Amino acid sequence: MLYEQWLWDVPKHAQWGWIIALYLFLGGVGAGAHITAGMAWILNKKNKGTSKGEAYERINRAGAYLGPPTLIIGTTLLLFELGDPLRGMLMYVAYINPTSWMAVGAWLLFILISTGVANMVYWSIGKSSGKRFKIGILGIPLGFTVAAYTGYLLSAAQFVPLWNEHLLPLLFTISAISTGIAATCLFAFMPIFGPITFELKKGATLFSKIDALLIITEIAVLCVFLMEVKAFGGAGLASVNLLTMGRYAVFFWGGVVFLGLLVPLIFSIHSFKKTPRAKYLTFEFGLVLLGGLILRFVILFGAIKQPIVIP
Amino acid sequence: MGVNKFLIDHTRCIRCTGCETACKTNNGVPTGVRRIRVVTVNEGKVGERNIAMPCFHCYDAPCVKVCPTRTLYKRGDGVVNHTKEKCIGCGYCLVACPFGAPQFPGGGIFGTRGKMDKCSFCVQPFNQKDEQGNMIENEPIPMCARFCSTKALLGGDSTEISKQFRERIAGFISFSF
Repeated sequence: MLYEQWLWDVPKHAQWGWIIALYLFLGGVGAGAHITAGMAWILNKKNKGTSKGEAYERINRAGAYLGPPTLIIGTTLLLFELGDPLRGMLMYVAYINPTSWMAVGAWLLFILISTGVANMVYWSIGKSSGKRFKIGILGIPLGFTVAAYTGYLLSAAQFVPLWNEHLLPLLFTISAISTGIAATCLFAFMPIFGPITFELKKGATLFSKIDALLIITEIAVLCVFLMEVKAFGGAGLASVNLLTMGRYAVFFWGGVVFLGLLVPLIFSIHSFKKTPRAKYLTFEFGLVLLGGLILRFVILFGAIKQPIVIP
Repeated sequence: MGVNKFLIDHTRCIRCTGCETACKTNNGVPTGVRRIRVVTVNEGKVGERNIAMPCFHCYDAPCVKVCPTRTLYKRGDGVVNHTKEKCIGCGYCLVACPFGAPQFPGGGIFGTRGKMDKCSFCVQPFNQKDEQGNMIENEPIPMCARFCSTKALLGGDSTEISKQFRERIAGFISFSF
């Protein structure tokens, strides 16, 4: 948040800084990984017994192993940011206000992490696939709520026009699913899961196609979001100017729009024609992740509070 | 009986910062925590204004709504007070507050912001406890308003303040005619 634009000075240690931005990214990736794992499970069930199904199972496994650690790293980072981290860990004592999105989100994260860790344990045991799948499918609705919560956390601040009430949660949810797909597919390409087969590439290409649709939606939502914030006037106009013309213009146009949205979109449109090489897929998914990371930073640091109006 | 409120007449303030001094002395607030501060807008330009900025004890307070731990709460007499032991120092109230009222002294475990402190209408001094270990609760009499030299800052029962301010405006109008 850009406090220089305020009428009063806020000390550096009181502000929300890079830890929060990184947490919003990691929370989105973790929630997206759970959603991707759930989608891969559905696809796996449809193609059961074939080599295609095995590829989807590998993506499912990658998502199940990636999601909970990402969320745990994110929430641990948050504890380092708190004024009283020991009290912040006491869930029942601390998070008791249901009107606060932070308290709701803490409980949602708690549920998602516990189910995710249980899922991980079932995966590592390997045999009891029935229970594993039942928990794994729970990841889709919970992942959606956690992804939306990262947006609602910011949009609860009514006096920051950039953190729009309706469109920021939507933008963050779409970005979270997109980055979650990217991270899961990248993780599935890792040599610890075995060599990259043609079927795996084909499975990742399907997810790349889903990503293309998500990116197109994200571009549309981003446009409407910026226009609505700009129409707010005052601090909203100043925020949009800061993002598109001011200090963060390089990060916004170069990082979010060009590297994070347009280049991956071109790559994934290419994948509609034929199955691309693993190198290209890795490059595309890496750029999606980079774009999602820069988006969180730009949204957090570009916010300006609506100043008081004096006659 | 109304609720407790502050009223700031920005045309009267001369930026003597007497309110800040009175607040610090009365409540024992350390350096870095400013429960009330005088803000100057349009400095050096036409329309320069000084405004004292305490917590305004909003009717529908955003900080009370967003606080995850119910540290901040609204009392029956309209004062937004805080329970210091409950605070986890997340900084969410500062993000939500339109006036920047919540203050953080710093000095947390990892160099973080520490526990929140804010204007409590002089109900709760800074970290002062009685013999039993409970936080002291005083009568809601704001020292900043008491010591304001030009009476730009009025604080207390809202009906009484409103009556005083109306009389002041009426006097001003009759004087200018």
